[in-house]
Amino acid sequence: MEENVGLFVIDLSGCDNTGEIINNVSLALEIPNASGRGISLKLRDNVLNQSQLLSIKSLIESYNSELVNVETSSLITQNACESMGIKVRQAKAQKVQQPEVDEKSPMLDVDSSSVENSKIALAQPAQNIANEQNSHNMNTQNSEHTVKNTNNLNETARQNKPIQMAGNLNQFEELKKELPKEAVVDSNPAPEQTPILRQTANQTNNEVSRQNINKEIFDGLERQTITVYKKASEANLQNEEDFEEVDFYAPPTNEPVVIDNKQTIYVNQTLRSGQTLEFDGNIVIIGDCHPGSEIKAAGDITVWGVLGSIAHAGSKGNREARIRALKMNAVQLRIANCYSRRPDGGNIPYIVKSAIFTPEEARIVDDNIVLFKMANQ
Amino acid sequence: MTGSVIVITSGKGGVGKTTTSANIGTALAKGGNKVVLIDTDIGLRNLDLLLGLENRIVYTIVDVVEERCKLKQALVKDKKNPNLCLLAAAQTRDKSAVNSEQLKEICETLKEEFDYILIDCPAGIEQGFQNAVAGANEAIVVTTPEMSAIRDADRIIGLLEAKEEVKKYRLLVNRVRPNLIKTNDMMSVEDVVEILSAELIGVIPEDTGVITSTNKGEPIVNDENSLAGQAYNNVAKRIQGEDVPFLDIDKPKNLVEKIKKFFSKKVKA
Repeated sequence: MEENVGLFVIDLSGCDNTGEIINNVSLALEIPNASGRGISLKLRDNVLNQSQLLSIKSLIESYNSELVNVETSSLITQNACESMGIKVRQAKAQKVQQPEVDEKSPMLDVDSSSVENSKIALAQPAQNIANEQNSHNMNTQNSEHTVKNTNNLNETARQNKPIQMAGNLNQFEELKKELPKEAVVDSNPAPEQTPILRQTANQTNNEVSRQNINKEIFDGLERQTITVYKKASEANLQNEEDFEEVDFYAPPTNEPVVIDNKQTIYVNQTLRSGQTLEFDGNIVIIGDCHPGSEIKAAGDITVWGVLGSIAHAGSKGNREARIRALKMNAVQLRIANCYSRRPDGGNIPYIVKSAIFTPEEARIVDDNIVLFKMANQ
Repeated sequence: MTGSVIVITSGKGGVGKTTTSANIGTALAKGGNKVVLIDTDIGLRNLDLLLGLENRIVYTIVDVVEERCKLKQALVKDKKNPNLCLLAAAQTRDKSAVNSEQLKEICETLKEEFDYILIDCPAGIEQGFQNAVAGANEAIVVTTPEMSAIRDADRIIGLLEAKEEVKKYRLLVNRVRPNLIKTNDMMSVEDVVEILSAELIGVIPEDTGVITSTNKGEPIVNDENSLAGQAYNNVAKRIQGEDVPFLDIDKPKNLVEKIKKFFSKKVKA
């Protein structure tokens, strides 16, 4: 990895199509310390032709950065890079052959998956469907799309708004229809669980039609009752001890095991009032979350700091999702469709926020959200 | 039932629009009226904080407008008074998320169920102001006895007069400090009323209790001993049509001052 010293590495191995790659690159370039540096792209088995590479290169250059090298396992991309004079690094091909496109793959039809909670929870996420044939055929169309997408994205990033890529998904649906049934899909089963702190703002596009999801979950409810979230010691639980002993990464023993190896993003900044962060996976925030901001994740939320805002874990219905923070002061904690609020008058004033930390974890116990101490485990 | 829609506005920021909305709303509700407070300061909401309802908000006015929930679901009931409801603003959006027509529609719907609809207007005269004023048929213009606030209030009154729907506007002079007026360092309430030539609805003295009540999330009208609280109660009574004399905010504190005041009045007469 010596070649990567001083370079800003953007990992794009989880991307499905060219539009997504461009989105992720432009998002990553929004990060202040990315500008003016050499950029290294990790493409893995994504396929890019010369014109696509050229547009990515010019995008990078518009941020005063320079595309230094590309890591790829695709021959087409390699050739394109060489003809443009970009250094190529061979990546280990991670090809896992899947027999055919699963029509009911939960990652694909997002609408139905929002209803069937269990499916989401047990889904093998991050299926990178990159079809070589496909991107060949769609080259011209793609490049048209990409220009539009980057514009959109730059704007949304500036406004700190949740990023919704409905357009992108529609495009994908179109692709899916055109796919012959026997098409072989390259799939990258799970992102590597490396402890590297990734700087890429890997905001993705699986976040679709939030409105629909909300409607389906809450339809027919006249008024949402929000109970106060309690500490485990106060909750008077019968099985309190069981919960205390459980390792917090493992699900409770008598529950079905949930495999949750979705992508995780690391956000190394303080979330301020009015800012929202949405992601279809786990979120780790290194910093505080001030009141007035909102975090929404399909998986877990971990805050290395004071959580003082609204946090919604398992937003697509995963009731096993957890929220943990060094200091829990959340205005509201939401897990799946279970909502809870801070007790009245329980606000920690700004002055004492840096005092002793009491790491706590929130999870659902009998339809209530309960806080468990994470110390002494 | 047709309630009256009152917008609380000022032009200048920081003169106490939100504090006034929260207190008048609470006072009206305490008097047995059904009251709903609408925060139209989208992106910079504070009204929920003053009422201590921050942790109860699930849906906001933007969710109502974008049809993610029913209007009823978005109304947050007050902790103490079930007659008081809050329709909160969204914090993660901006003023352009709602337009005048939509707010007008919300007001029309709420009119049928509530006696008073108080709209907390954002500072400025842009979209946010236009939205807040759209559905209103009465206005309370809040100002402080300072030149900058008075000039902005004058501009606002001009804009309100141009609106046909707003039948009536009244002036509320906030943060009055009697001892500064005495030494001629602050404009008196009479001066303010004369400059703006508008009907007066209340005079609120400067009170440090307002700051503590804001931090606690409890309106100061709940504090019987506070002078500002009493003044807000009186404003609420005037809104209901009662004729209440203006509070003597220049209350003598001890016996010596009482005697002094007694004699100074005699001499003037």
